[in-house]
Amino acid sequence: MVKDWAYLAGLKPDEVPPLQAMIKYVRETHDTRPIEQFNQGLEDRIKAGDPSVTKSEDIMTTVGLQECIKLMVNASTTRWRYMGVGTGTTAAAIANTALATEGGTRQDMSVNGWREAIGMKLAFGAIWPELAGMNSIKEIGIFNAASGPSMMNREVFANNSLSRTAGRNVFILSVVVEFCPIA
Amino acid sequence: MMKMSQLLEPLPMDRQTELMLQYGPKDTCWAATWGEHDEPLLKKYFEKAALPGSEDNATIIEFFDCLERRWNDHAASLTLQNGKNLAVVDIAKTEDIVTIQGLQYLCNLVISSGLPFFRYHGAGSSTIEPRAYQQRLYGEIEPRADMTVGAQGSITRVGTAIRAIGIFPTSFPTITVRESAIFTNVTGYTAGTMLNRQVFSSSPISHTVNGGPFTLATDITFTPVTIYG
Repeated sequence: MVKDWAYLAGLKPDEVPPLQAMIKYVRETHDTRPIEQFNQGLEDRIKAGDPSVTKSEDIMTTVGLQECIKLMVNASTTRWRYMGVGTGTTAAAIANTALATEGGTRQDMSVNGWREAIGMKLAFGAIWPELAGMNSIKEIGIFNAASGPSMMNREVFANNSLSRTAGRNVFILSVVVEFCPIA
Repeated sequence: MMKMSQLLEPLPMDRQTELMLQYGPKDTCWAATWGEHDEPLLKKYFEKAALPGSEDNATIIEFFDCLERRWNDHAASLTLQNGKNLAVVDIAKTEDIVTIQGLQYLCNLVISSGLPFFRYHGAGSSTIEPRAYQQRLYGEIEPRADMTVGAQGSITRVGTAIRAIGIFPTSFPTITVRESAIFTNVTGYTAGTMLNRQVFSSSPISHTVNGGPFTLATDITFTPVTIYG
């Protein structure tokens, strides 16, 4: 079984420099402990009732799983690199091949985020700067191209989305794909 | 002092193995022996199978269907383009386990380029029960089959599964095939990773040198879920 979930957080601009430093460190060292600490921090903030953090537990798509298996058997070399966002709220399904209403430009996680293997999990993350793209995020997906297919997963924040005022907040999105829940 | 009955009891199952069996990918393996003169036909079948590519390959699907039909006590054979038939002589099937290291390595393959991938199928004779933490076959006889060579098998994607087939030639040493695994490396255990371990404890197949080839065919199926059921 492959389980998939995502965190969406709205940060103030002064919270961004340390986060960018963390991302740079992870990219350079592939030490994934800061990602796990960051995700745990978001989980704690949700439990504490922080309205600037939200979570979705939706699903990996069939196409996404097939693309992962192609990478596993060396039938493809195109890796998951981009995160896209949108405003669609239709329920996520394994048959989804695109976001319902994608908007803005996909973020390159190799530049503005992370993509790492942590044990039996995959971890992806991306920052949406103050003036970049969408000001309301209701769905997200991981892609292996800057536009078009394929989409690995779809996470919908239909009733728990976040909005921001352009220029005042930064969005950070963190996605976890777990292949087996063994610590 | 332990009683004999205690010694014969199965190994206690660790928590990691329980979780892998319950929530990990489903891992199934068929071991089959083929007719004494079938080796050239079997190799030809897989050389042809390589042509349609490594995704949803109809020839690979047909091969696994044939094994499952034979396992269900039906006569089953593969028909080649020249009209000749390949028939399974004996078959065994088991559903065992992907290893922790193997699944971690698969995750690395999804993220990182340039890593060796799983291309070797190994066979052994040990009956030690499979566990998620194991990193070797306990009675392996080499050589391993290189699944990237058409005459030695194939590794492809079918649906949301990895399907790996190793062909072991007639000249392979005599063995009772009780265990099977997939590796990143061609030999030994000092390097590389073992993806899974399968044990045919109750119904192994027997191979005699120069008595016909045998195959090991593995299906590792992944399923997306929103909650662990």
